[in-house]
Amino acid sequence: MQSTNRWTVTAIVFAAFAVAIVLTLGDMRLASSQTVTLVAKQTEATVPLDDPFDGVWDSANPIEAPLSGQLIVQPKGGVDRTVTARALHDNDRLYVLLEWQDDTEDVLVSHQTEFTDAAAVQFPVSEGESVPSFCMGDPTAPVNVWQWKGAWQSDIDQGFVGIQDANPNIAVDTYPFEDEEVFYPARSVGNAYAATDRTTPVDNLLAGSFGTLTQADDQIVDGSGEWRDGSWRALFARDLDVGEEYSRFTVNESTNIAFAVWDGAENERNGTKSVSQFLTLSLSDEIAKGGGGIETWQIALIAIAVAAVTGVLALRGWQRSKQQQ
Amino acid sequence: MIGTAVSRPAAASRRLAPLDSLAAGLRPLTITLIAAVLAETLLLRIVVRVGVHVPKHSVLTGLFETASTLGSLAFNFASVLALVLLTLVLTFVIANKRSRAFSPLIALLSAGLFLGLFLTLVTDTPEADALFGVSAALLAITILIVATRTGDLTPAVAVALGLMVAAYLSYEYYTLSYVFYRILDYAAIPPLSLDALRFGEAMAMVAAGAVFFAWGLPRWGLIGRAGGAVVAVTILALTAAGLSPVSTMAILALWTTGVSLFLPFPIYLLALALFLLTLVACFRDRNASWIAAGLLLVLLAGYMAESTYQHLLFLLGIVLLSGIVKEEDTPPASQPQEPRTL
Repeated sequence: MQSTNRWTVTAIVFAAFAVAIVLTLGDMRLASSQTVTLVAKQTEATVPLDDPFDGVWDSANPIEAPLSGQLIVQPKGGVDRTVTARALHDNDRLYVLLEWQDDTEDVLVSHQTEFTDAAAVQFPVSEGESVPSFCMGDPTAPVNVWQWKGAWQSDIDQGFVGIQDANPNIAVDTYPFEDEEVFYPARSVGNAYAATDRTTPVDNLLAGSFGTLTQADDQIVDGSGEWRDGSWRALFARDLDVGEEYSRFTVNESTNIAFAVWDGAENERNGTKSVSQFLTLSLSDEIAKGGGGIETWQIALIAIAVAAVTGVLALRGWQRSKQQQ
Repeated sequence: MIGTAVSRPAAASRRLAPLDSLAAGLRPLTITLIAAVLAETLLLRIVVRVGVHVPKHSVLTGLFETASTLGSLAFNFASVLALVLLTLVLTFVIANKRSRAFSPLIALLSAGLFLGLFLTLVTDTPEADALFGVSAALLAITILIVATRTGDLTPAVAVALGLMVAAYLSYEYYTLSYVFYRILDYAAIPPLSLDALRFGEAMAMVAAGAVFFAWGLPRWGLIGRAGGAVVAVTILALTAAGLSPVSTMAILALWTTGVSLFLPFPIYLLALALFLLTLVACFRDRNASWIAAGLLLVLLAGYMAESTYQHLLFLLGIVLLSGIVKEEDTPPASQPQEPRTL
């Protein structure tokens, strides 16, 4: 390579490296995300927290996110699933709705072999250029997790299922000191799983890598879930800004969101779940209107046309080049 | 100059001198880019993600953060170089008389690509994403069509290229369909979007086999024991990772190659083995170094190109694999030379 070419190449490489240093020091990336975006538009209607099937959700823009089994850390599990996500906001609260197929409604955890259906959404706690590990975040990028549990929903809707209710044929003479808290140690120390008087079926959690999931001090996420005709819908709702300890949402800004689903009938719990990668959640000031769409046959027609034109042009070009040879 | 070597007037050679200079720099720039992409993949996409398994205390936390910072530096360096190289290569394609009929279209799509990239960085609007994505998709199709006109593609190579582009277009449909639905404000799910995503991933696995058939099998004897051992160790390590309690396999799949592992795991192992064997064979063939570079860039771009940077790597890889751009020494007017294939 001639010396002038060598200097040109060297100059390009050094200039590129200098630009890279400036970008890195400014915590910027010379790349833009090209993932699917869940857009939370503004709704002027009321979003009922006790009805995930309310018609207000017909105005939201849905996305389908593929979920894969959690194969990164023990206990591994989960299967390939699809979750449909929708989001709305009313300038005060963010509402996220998840929908997924599940043949059975599993909401009892009264026996050791029973596990509840559940769903969760995960956000980075703080904004940054690096997306946290979707394995419950990492020490440099903690995550805020909202987990809805079918068992907690059942506790609210139908009341706490005690031993007597779960085992109707059990024989008990008497429970001494039945009303003294000291004999309910889990409940008396505030174990969330032992609570009988729930106000929300959604657990607000924080994590800084797997194995560090902790219930947050503030249970500020509301919501509900309902199973209907072979599918669940789980609704999450929280104020947009609740302080720096938790994820903050601002209209006309974006953050990241990931999803997880558990099927109690498949003994899924803890790390045995189906998870998605982080997608983009964008809060828009546009008003949600609903409607529109393209038919499947139209898309198929376009795809066939593109493939046909490409194939014909390629084949003709190949034949022409062979003839010229 | 880039193009067919023929005897031509000295004045024409002088007019093309700037392109000659850039053409001569293509090889070292590509080598530098590949080194940067490998560093980014190792420090950002692999080490940082695998590092979540490591218990954090003072020394390891510091190493973890250092790897993350260096990985970000490598990412930005690779991004800038990818941009520069793609600009260069597309300029050569436009100036190449082999692709003259499509030069205006390629120029238009290139302009759309770079404008879309600039707008996504500055405005982050769906319209910018659409411009970038559509330009990238149409560029990939155009490069494929132009490649068939060069006369150098064997049917096996054409099929391999076609499958790679088809897998890319399937992923593009998944993301772009949502972008356009967002622009058109359609409150519905684009039809067949998830099916296209899964189909594209399956096609990517088939493409690995086609790559081996097109470029690896003819060079089977060049792989050698060392090359075979490297590939075997890699596959065994991934298999062990998948079976072990601490699974790095899924991390590598999801973040490095961008596949969701929805097919049976042995299919991914077989596809990766065939692809790596082809890479080794092409690297060992001095006449196929550009094919190796193109394959490596396509592999590191991954199937789910979640950032604009990965799209640029894929397009660069496809252009290098297509054989459209041919490198040759600038000949004096009286001494025509044979073109040397990249």
